Amino acid sequence: MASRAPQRPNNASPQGKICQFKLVLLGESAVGKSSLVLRFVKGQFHEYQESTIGAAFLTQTVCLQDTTVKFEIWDTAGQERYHSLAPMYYRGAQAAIVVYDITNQDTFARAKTWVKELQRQASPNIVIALAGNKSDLSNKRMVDHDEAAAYSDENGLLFMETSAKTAMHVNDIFLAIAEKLPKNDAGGTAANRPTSGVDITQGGGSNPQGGCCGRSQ
Amino acid sequence: MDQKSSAKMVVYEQEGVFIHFCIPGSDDDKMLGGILTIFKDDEHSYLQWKPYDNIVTPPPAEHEAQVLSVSSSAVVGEDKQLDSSAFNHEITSEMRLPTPEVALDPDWTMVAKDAKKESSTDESFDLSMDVLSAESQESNSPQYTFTIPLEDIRCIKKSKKGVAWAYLLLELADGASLPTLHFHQGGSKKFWKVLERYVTTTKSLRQENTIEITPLNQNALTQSFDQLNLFGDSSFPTLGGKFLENPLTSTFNHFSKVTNFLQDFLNPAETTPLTRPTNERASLIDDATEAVGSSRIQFKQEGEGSAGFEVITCAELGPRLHPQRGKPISPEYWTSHKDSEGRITEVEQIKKDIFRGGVDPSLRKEVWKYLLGYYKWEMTSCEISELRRNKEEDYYRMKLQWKSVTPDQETRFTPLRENKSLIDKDVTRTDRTRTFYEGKENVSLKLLNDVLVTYCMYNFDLGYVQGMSDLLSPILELMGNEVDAFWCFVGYMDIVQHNFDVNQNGMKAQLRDLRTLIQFLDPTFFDNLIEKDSKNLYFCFRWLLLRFKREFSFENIQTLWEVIWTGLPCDNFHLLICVALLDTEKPILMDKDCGFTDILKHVNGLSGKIDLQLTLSKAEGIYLQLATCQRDLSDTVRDVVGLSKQTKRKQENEN
Repeated sequence: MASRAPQRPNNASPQGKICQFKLVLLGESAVGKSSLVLRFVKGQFHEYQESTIGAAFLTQTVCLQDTTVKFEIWDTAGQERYHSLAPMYYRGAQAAIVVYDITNQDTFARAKTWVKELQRQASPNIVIALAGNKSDLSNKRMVDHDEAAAYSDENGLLFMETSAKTAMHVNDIFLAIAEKLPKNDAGGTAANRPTSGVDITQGGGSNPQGGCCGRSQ
Repeated sequence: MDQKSSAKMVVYEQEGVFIHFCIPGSDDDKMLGGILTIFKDDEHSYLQWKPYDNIVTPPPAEHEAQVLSVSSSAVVGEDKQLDSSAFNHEITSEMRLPTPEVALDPDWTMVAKDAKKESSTDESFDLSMDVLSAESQESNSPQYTFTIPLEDIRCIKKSKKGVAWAYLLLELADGASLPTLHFHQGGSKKFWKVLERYVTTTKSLRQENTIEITPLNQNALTQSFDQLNLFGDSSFPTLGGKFLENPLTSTFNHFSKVTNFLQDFLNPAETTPLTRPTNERASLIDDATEAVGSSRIQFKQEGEGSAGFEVITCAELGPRLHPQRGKPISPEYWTSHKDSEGRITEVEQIKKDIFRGGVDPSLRKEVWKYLLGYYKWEMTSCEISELRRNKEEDYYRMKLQWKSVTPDQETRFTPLRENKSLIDKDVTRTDRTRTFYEGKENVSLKLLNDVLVTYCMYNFDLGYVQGMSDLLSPILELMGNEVDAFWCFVGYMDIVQHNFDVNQNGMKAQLRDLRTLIQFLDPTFFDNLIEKDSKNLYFCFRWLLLRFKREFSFENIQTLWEVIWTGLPCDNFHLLICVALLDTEKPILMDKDCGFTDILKHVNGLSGKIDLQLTLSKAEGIYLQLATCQRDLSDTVRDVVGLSKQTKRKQENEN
């Protein structure tokens, strides 16, 4: 992986500003939402990651040139039955990662409906990224890369194929979102608010792969 | 006859099953048409064939006289050489069978008597025809009627594909054969389907097209591992081929393998529960009491979007007690509460004791069946055996329903396909760190899958919803077999199925009730939650949906669940457990810097760190506080914990 940083990822550049963004993960059940977050936040991967019940909340910070971006990540349950809870989680979100599984065409179809729902009901300026996860299983691929890329272009989405297992493009997709998010107040309610007393380093500090600071150096 | 006639049940009946024979010295093939039946009583299942009777509507009492069976010796290898005088019943279009109820009852009773004899003497079961013939010999009816216990069949040779009609040749355990049965009007597939509910069938390695039979409940479970070739290369990889060729047989073959494996696997097993360290937590009970103990009257908005205001009297909550937790009920205790016929006595006291201290691990497997309503407390051992048999049959029937859907059919059966896909996704990630479920080819995963898919067939309206696998997992591990696990799970789902409502109504109702309790018990904390935009209590979602399954170690969740299943000391005790948990965490949660997201993060992070006994004691203490100031409780609070019901009952008793 390209992004490795020896220092703690939440070390804000001393002169830069700190932005805080709410990011939500959406997508069909078992596409790897929690695994992506776990890889990004803790640098871990569990083959048998348990299903998410309700929602999980984690934070991670990335450093851009002169800005520290703190993600408040909402990881949601994927099954359709819990769909009615989703608006609560994407309400007020400045960013969303819609995840599908490249080995399962149905999950791609479901991802498209999530995108539609976000475009219709979420904050107008929400930054949406599409993640085709499980790219390590390319021998079982059912969703064409170019098709997903073209769809993302048409809809103004960031797009990457990721693998929470190998870590491929995991940090990159969060970093790409961080770069695309507006840093001057327009980002939303939380922008420019200094980090509070809550320890946002949890998990991330022990893991050099957790952040993306290395990229900016 | 002192038979238990109520227990007879016809489970299969097929008209147009013929016996062919030729009369010595003649070239003519003769055929005798009749009805093939599988029926069962308390102990056994039987296969019966009776010829059509051309005597017009005989009076019921006399009918049994027309049914005459051959002795076993007459059948042995002689079906082509019998005396021609026996076959005077060639098919005519007028042949009619009297209604089964009338016609068959007398025979069943005879068989039942025979079965009873067998079970008490434990002798090998001879053809019950002897009894039949002894009692009904005065007839000149054909002598081909037979009634045999299914377990007496050793193997069945099937006709090859492509013949005009299917026929079966049955060989008995003692080497005798029955006349070949020709299914002129079809129904042989259904015959297999039903037969396989009662016996285990295995494809014979010695003879082509032959199925060997072992009784489902006995031999099948003691077959050796090697014989079953559970992990043999030839077993699972060929499943598809076998399945397509003969879905029913191969399905059941594989079922039995799984059952056998588990049987072997579990009996000697000492399950090593994963013990997680429990952090000792200082008791905050006194603080909590202080916080909620002051008497005051306040106005609170009742519910969200509600127009009216209710005066909520925060009653003088007495000091919170710290009820002692007890010891689990022991095997000796349990035995001493069974009467001579196996009924459980003093049920209310038992429930109280389970509430106080749970159940000894060695007893759980049995006690849970009662707590979950699978067994009824007042049932005798005999009744339980019968229930168990019926439930087993019922389970396999439902399992067969989805097992026999071919992949091709499934492409046009979206709801089933979707449920199966959801289950598959969750089974692979449920409790995989436990020995019972670890490893890639673990058969327990298949069981978990099968019970869940079968539950879909049981309750298709609900289907599979994420979270169910978590609720089933500890039950399956404890029970060790899919039938008991399934019915216990059904009992559990009856309690919690509203957790899985499509519109989340069940979850919303619980969160609302929990809010009512917190608002009443701890207004200061409640205000704090309002300030933090957290009064929706969504951070308790996982606790409630999974009944704390993810929050405790395996050992502790067993205790917690059995405590809750007693239904004591009040309705919705699990909500008081939530209140107790939040009470313990309050100093952190009420911190000004701990917002909604931090609360969620903290609550999710409590998993594996909760002191169970302290929590239970605290929850009970809270209940006692509510119970002692009952008259001052608002109706809503009283309803949530069911105190209005209790008061009503008390009043009725007093009157």
